[in-house]
Amino acid sequence: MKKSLIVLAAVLAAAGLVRAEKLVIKGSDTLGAKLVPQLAEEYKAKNPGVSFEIAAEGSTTGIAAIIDSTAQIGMSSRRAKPTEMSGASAKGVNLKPTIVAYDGIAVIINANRPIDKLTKRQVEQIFAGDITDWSAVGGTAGKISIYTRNTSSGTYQDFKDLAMNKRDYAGSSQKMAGNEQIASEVSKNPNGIGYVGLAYVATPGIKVVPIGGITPSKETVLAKQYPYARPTFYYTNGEPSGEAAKFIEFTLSDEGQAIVGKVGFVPIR
Amino acid sequence: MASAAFAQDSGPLLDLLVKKGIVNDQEAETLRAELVKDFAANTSAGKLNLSSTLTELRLSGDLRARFESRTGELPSGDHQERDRFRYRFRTSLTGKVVNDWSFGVRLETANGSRSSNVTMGDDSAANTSPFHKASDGVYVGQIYLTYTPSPLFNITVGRMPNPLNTTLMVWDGDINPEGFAEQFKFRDGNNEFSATLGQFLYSAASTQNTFGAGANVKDMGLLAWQAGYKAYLEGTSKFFLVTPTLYTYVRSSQNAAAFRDGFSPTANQTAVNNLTVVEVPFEFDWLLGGVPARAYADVAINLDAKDRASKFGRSDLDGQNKAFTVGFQYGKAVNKGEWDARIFYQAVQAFALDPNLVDSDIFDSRTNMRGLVIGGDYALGGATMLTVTASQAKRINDTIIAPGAGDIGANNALDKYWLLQADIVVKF
Repeated sequence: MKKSLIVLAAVLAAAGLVRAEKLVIKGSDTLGAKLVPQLAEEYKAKNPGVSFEIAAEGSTTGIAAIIDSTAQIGMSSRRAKPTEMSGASAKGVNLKPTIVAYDGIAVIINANRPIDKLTKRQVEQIFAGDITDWSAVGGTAGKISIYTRNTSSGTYQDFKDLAMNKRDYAGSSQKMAGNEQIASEVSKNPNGIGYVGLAYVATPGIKVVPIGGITPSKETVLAKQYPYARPTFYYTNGEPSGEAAKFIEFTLSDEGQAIVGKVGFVPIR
Repeated sequence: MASAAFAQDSGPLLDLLVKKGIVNDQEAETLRAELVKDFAANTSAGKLNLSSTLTELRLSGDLRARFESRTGELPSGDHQERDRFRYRFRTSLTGKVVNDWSFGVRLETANGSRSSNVTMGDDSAANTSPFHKASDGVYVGQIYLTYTPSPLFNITVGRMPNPLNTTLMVWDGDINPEGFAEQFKFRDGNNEFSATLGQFLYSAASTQNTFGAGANVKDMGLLAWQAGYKAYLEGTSKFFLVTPTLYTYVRSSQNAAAFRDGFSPTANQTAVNNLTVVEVPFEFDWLLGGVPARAYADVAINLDAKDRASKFGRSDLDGQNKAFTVGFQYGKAVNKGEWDARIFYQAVQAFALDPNLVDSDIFDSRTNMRGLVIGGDYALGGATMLTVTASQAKRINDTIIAPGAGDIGANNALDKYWLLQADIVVKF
């Protein structure tokens, strides 16, 4: 009996150790599709034995995961809403944001579309459905196809706030699961328009449209000149601890920020 | 003490602090999160999750406590009194959504079309136990959609606030007509022109063109055609307004018995056959010694009263086809300590108006009555009003009944009538 208890205790201890070294990160597709996996690979290389579970299904799911305590880090490309803050407080969770990178939401069109600039007003009108044909913004005629992120995406909400005066998207807009899907659709559709994070503007077949004469870049985002610039976040329950704290520290380190820049985001310094 | 700062108004300030280098982005973000937490924890708005299609949402309503005394007297001198303590609660949720649509829903405490009052102690015959709740309920008083594609035009469908400019003589203020209404309004300088059209479903038949030999009952409609002219004489405080209106009834002879009533206005005369009413309300508003004043009148005539009187069996009374009210109000109680007083005289002949629509209080829902009404309001606070109303009325033509379904009793031989109401109203 005594021997069985010792074995059981050893198994439980081992299981506990395994759990302690597994970092669960959920949330934003913008961060979770490219940047965080690369950071995780680099981190694992330096910290053998640490494993990651990364689910990039939208910022809403990241913040919800912190509130529900199903992840140690919630990735988000938007700020938590008051209702999320309220829901977190009700469960004793203290949502703490940490800026990990800056991003610019780039407006993209098909590379063959002869448009080389748009104004903020035109972008709002296109995505809200007021303008439905390219000829209205100086291009050759063609019915505009709008691609947006889905509603759980932080970028979906941020774009409404930054570019659309909080208006709703046109009813004809098509909702995509991620940045790569939007870039892919726009590259195939000569009438397509969409938006992606800076890390996704190199997709072949698309081009970035300057907004009010300003092209999204590291310089214009950091200088807050580009109108659709935004910070991106890790959310934690209060001050992070353990492996989560170490991973966040790594993300903010020079090495981590170098990866941020390499992937296409704008480092925080 | 400084008012609380919440995230709603701190964003631009934080951005400015960052821009000036006083705080960095991360410090600003931490502060912003704290402010949002405060906002979420300390304001009700922070807990609301409203649809993104909403551009405006408004919760409002009123609660009224009333003492009311009604007294009726028959030609014999026999009296009947009905004293009641009553309350009424109404609450509205109205809102606007994107693309020029709006909506409204109002809940009320009683199901009467002309009253949302509940009587304390419940004086209904069925309930005698202390503090019975049988008469209390929650009813949908208004429910409507409005489309406003232009500031000049809107169309409403549902059970709506009365879209017509009128008076208590013709429409009880509690009635919310059901159907459709279209409103046009155009202003040119100091002249404003308007038109309001109403297509109301007065009473619907459950089936039409019934199988077999059943009664061929159809939906009945009330059509209203109102034109309006408003002359602004000095800002918005001095103006003249006139809104002539025509009311016609559609298929009144083919409706259910409740309003067809044998197509002859006998008994309580709620049948609506032979009613083609022209109403002309008009008013003049101005400042009298710096105090708002309003002189107003409303005249109406039933163009089909000859046949209505004839079907009643009194063709000799075909001249009982007119109604009028004339009144004056001094003051306007809005803010604490303000008061107003009003007086009006009203006479409604037996065959002039639809007795199902007239005000249920001042003449006990009846026509063939004339009398004087006085009243006043005193604002106890910015949202609290004390109101007193008294009326004294007498039957106009003693050879016929004073028709209508009144509260004082079913006896339509009512000769004289007195009313006293004292209200405290809280609005929000």
